[in-house]
Amino acid sequence: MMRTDTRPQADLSLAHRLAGTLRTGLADVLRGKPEPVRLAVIALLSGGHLLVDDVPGVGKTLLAKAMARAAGGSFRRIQSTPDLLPSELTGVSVFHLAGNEWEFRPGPLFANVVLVDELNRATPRTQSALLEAMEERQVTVDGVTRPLPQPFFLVATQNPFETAGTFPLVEGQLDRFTIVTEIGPPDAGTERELLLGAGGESALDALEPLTDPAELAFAIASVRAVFCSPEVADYTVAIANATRVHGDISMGASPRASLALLHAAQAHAVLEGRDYVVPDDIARLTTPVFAHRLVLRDPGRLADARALVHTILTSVPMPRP
Amino acid sequence: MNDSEDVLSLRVSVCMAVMSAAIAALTEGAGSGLLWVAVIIGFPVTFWVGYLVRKTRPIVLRLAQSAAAIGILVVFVARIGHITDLAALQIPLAQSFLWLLLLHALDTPNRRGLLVLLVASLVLVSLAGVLSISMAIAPWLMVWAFSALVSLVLAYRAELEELPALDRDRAPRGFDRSTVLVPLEVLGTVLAVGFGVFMVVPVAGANRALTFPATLPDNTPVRSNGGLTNPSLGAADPNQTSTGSQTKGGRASFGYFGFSNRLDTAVRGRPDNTLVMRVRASSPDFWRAQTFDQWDGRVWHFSKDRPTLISGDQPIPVPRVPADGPVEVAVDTDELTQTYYLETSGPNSIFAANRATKVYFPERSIFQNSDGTLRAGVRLDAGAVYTVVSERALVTAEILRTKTATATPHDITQQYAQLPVTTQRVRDLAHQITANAPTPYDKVRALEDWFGAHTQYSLNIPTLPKGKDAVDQYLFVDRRGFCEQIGTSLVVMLRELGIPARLAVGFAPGERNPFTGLYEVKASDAHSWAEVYFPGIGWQGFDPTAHVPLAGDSGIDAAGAGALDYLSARLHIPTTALAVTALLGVLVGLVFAIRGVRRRPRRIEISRSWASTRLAQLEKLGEQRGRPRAPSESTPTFVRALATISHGREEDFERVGTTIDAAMFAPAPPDAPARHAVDELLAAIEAEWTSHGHPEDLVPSR
Repeated sequence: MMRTDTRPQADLSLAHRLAGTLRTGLADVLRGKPEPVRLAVIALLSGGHLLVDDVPGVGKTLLAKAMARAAGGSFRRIQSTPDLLPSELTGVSVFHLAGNEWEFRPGPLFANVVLVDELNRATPRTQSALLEAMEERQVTVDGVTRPLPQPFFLVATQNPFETAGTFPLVEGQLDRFTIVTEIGPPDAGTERELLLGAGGESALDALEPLTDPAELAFAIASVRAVFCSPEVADYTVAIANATRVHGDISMGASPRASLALLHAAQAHAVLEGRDYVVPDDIARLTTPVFAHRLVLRDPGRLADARALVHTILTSVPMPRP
Repeated sequence: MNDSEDVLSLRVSVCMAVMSAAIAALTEGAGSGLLWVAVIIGFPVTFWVGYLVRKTRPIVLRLAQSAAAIGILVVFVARIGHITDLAALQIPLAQSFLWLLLLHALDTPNRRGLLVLLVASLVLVSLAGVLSISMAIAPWLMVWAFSALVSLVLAYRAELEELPALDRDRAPRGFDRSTVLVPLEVLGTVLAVGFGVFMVVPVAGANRALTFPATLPDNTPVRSNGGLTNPSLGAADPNQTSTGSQTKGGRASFGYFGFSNRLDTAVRGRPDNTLVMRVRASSPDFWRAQTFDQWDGRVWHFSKDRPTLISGDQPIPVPRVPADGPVEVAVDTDELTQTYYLETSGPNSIFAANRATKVYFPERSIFQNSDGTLRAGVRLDAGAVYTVVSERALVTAEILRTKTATATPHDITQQYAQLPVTTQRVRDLAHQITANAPTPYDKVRALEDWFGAHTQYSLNIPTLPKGKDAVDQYLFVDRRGFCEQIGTSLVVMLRELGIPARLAVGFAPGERNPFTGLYEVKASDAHSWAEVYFPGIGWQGFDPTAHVPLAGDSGIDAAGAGALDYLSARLHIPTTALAVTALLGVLVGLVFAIRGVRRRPRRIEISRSWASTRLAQLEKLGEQRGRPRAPSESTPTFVRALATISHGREEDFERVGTTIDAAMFAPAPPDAPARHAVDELLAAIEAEWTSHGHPEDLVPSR
């Protein structure tokens, strides 16, 4: 007799519990910053990738490392420099004299969580090597395509104010980050606590893995089962359309962006303990999901794009019965 | 729940449904006189009173109701005291039910009471359907179905309105165009689909009822010796003592002179299209009244008219008579149950397909003649109903050719195969026609074929000259004739060949009404045919003019077979046009059905409509407080803003916002209790705000 797979296809309560655990764990390390922590959890659970964009010293790497630790599984860290080569990310084939054969040595991309520090210091050529890995979760070396471990989560950092020796991220690269978040300076109280030894590196050292790759993969799959009503889908499309027709924007949100927004909204709904998406989920995540993808007519900083998205949101009416 | 039902149109439509159902039941004989008055006048009055007192419900009225209910019960018990037959219970039961409904209509304060009446009307309609033998209830059925559907639509709307959340400005209220259109759509769909199904499902086989109907309109005994009586014959009624001229016919009830102690082939009856009776039977057969054995060249007689009394409990068992002959050949049999509903007063013959084994008759005794045919000891007037169960031998041509026994009992040969009185050329013709036919069955067929090829069927034939032989006149002179001539000739020629035969009279099956499933027998279906004796099997009817298949050869048709022809004949519309119309109807019905199925589930609709109303209420509140909702603002965000104005109740506001959001976007929207809880919260907030407001001016946050 054929055995049927009795494992559930989705378990939203498990995903909700895991999201809560991750948020608490990360908030312990990155104190006083609930919003970046929330966005980081959403990026992870929506099956996407995260770019932390801020000045040095506010805890970008701390957040990235905390995520890696909390997510469990294998972790690799890449420090970008202008002379970083693509093969140093993907891995190379080396010839084994003894075995008289080529052997593939996997690069640092072959891990569950990959931290790419100071991504904009890598050359566009090296940045492009990440495209296939981020979107298709696979790496092609010497014509052989190798799948990356599941789940695969890439968290990158960059310093937008550093200009010497940096290469601005290409649009295709940016489009592959689900969420771009900044962290911002801590408030005085948190900073004082930090100085007195609460949070930060010590907390990171104390952080134990909060899940494992199998559970995380299942939670990510569960998040995709969150219900999205036709009205909410229409609302999402309306926002994306508004970015496409806006006079100050030369390139609006792509369909990939809309899909990323929906997935992020689904993860947000799970975080809030709902099994359906409401327009507020969409509205809250439009800025972190869309802003970095827009190409403005008048090139400016990310903050300009964020302000623009905010205006667009006030122009799109909420669905009502 | 003490809410009173104020929608007048709902009451009117329920009243219509109950009245049409009651009228349908009364039309089918569920009651008469007083009940008709009670239904026509009583129901409108009681419904009106019920409407007037829906809020007060005076105690006096309720006491009177209880007393009347007890009275109805007492009358019912008194009436059923002498009834032993379960079937006879249904009429008193139905009548008591009607009276109770009348009482109930007085006390219908709320919608539930009205819907109970609607269900009760369904019971009445079912009863009418059970009693029905004609299509007389069809119009009432349509009225009932329509008003019942209208009632359901109105009740549903009233229910929608009752949900405190629903938008009173937008929800459809009371009676409008769609109140009529929706029921019409449903009715059309049901009719179209029902008709399609009706055209293909097979006819129900044997009846499976425990008992069968048998009633008499009045019990007027006639002669107790079982003699024949036929009121249609007037002075020629064998029951009458006078012996008047028999040529003086009339167009009296049954219009046929055959049902008598003699059959004069010189007399021409003029049967018309009067409906004589309806017969409920699963397949067609000859409805036989009596047989004749003696022929004198012009008149048929029955030589052994000796009725014997047979009696017993229902059903009365009917024994086999010697004239039926012994059963020696194993032939499959089936039970053909025939219920006869007499529409016109007729002879006291009890019609039956050959060979009757059981009779459900309102009297304990009936008479059986020596040829096996049955008679009643009472008059059988219009309205009489009785049921006969016949055990038919399922013979086929093959069986009649090859499987017959060899020996014919002496008595049967003596009585039915004596040399006939006829002319020599008839005798010669009989031998000549059947020269090449090997078996008796083939001989019968050969003779039938010859009649078909060489004579014409005609009701208008010249009168028989005095002293002429009827058979000779038909075969050699007129060459025209109807059943009497043909049947008689067949019998005479078979006897010449030594085959026992006799003339049977009765009715041809008549036309089957596909809608009631009953055969409608008209006076013009009166018929005579030949019965031929097959040794070891028994008597078998033969007739070249009326097409009645051998019992073993008839197939099973669809219940609706012939429905189109039936309608086409009555509506004077060609069958093809009807078929196209029916097909179109089915298609339109299907379209509506599919549209109906594809509609959103009701719960989602209600919850969306509720969310819309509540959001509108919140927007109004916001406007009053100078904080209108921005179009891009989600409900929870807006509600949170209102909470800031309100200074307090943050949790309540949060709950209101998320519940409304869930009602709009969740796959399983909040249920009624969750909605009602929010309704109460909102009502409380509203009350608070109107008593002491915080006139702060806030602008939309986004």
